Amino acid sequence: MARMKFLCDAERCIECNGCVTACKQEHEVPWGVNRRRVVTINDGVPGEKSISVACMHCSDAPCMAVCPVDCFYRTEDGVVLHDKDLCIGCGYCFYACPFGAPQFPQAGAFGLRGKMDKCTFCAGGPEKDRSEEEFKKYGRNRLSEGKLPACAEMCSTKALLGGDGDVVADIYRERVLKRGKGSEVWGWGTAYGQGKPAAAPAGAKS
Amino acid sequence: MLLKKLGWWDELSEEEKKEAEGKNWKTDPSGGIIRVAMKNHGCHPFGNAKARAVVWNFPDGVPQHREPLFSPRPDMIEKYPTHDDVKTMWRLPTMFKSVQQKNKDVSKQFPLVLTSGRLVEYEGGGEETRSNPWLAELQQENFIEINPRAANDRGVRNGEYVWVSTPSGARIKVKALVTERVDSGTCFIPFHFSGWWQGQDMLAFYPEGAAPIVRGEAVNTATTYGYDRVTMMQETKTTLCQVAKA
Ligand code: SF4
Ligand code: SF4
Repeated sequence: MARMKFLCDAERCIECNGCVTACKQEHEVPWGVNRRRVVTINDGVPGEKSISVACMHCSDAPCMAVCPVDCFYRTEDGVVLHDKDLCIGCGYCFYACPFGAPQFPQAGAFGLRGKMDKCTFCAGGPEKDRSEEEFKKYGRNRLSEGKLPACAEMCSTKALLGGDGDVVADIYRERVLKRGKGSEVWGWGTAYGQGKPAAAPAGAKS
Repeated sequence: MLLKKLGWWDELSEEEKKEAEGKNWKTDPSGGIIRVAMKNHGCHPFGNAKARAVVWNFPDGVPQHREPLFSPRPDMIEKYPTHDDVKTMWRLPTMFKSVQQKNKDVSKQFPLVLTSGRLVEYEGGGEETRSNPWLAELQQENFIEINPRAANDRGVRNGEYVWVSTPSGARIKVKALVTERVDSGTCFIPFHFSGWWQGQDMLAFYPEGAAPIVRGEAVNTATTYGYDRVTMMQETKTTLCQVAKA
């Protein structure tokens, strides 16, 4: 089974927000909730770099470890998903996540946040694949349709790559060789560990 | 090398050959390639190739520098003055030199160059983009990019509202984005906004349901007089301005 991963190439990203918009449209994500966003470092000075950030579907996911109701699970493809029916909106995962991925629809009184929402790697949720309920809660399930994430597909510079981690790594390695710079991949160490990440056992929970 | 493939190479003079070696239509400094293709073989350039041709019926046969009507450099106006006024251009009287001369010293009052342009995620005037919630969310307010030095001189801090005034007499209210992306003599405002008029949100005047989700000041409220001498395209890309804390 492929191990799905994201990679954003800071040498290429032009901060167009195409990925952000593709995600919003594909899943009809409400105003104020951003499953993906583009972060720019050194904005407006030489050396400016942008990267597109969302849930990285980490190998050893901190959200999974801290969730008090254990609502997270991992698919055969290594995608980290969660069950909104179990989620109590406590916000622990938000503090645990190194990428700021978990989003909450409201910040109400008494710390009431609503059900957490985050990037699903376009793989839906625990409901039946491509069902109405799944779409309402988690958005479209593109992986089950044999498609890759909408954000990466949309990226016009192909800065954002999403798919089989080995293929993604090969594409990136070739790029780095050709251009001779930009070999550090932002976030990969944090998300997938140093060196070659071992494929997560199917259905494993940490 | 196309000329060699076509068998036209030997129509170049010896001197031309020396300069044209390894070059093409755009890069040959001798002009020989253009001469052979056009004069000897009746080729007619189109697209970008035209930029290398003499356009005999344009006021400037080849493009040359002319200072804009509103310039921060009176000395450059002396050196590179604009065209004479035209009595009928596409049937309309159109002013050039008289406006430039009248505003020669206007930069004392409006010392900053104001240029307008595009945000990569926005479309055209922005009406479509700002009416679509998925896109409108990305940039919810109009802004002016201003250099830290210029901002400091005016006591303006990042994120504060400022008034931008121009020689047209208009004043627009936008948020300051203090950044080194622009130099200390230049400001930038994106042109994708509308729905505000000189500091006021015009929401009440839109027919019900027709207002874009986010609104802001349109930069062209403040841009100044000026037209292209050939196409009559209006000059909305650059002018002068002053910025003050709102
Ligand atoms: S993989 Fe899908 S859900 Fe995740 S950021 Fe991309 S488009 Fe959004
Ligand atoms: S679509 Fe690609 S280039 Fe544009 S912001 Fe996203 S990652 Fe960067």
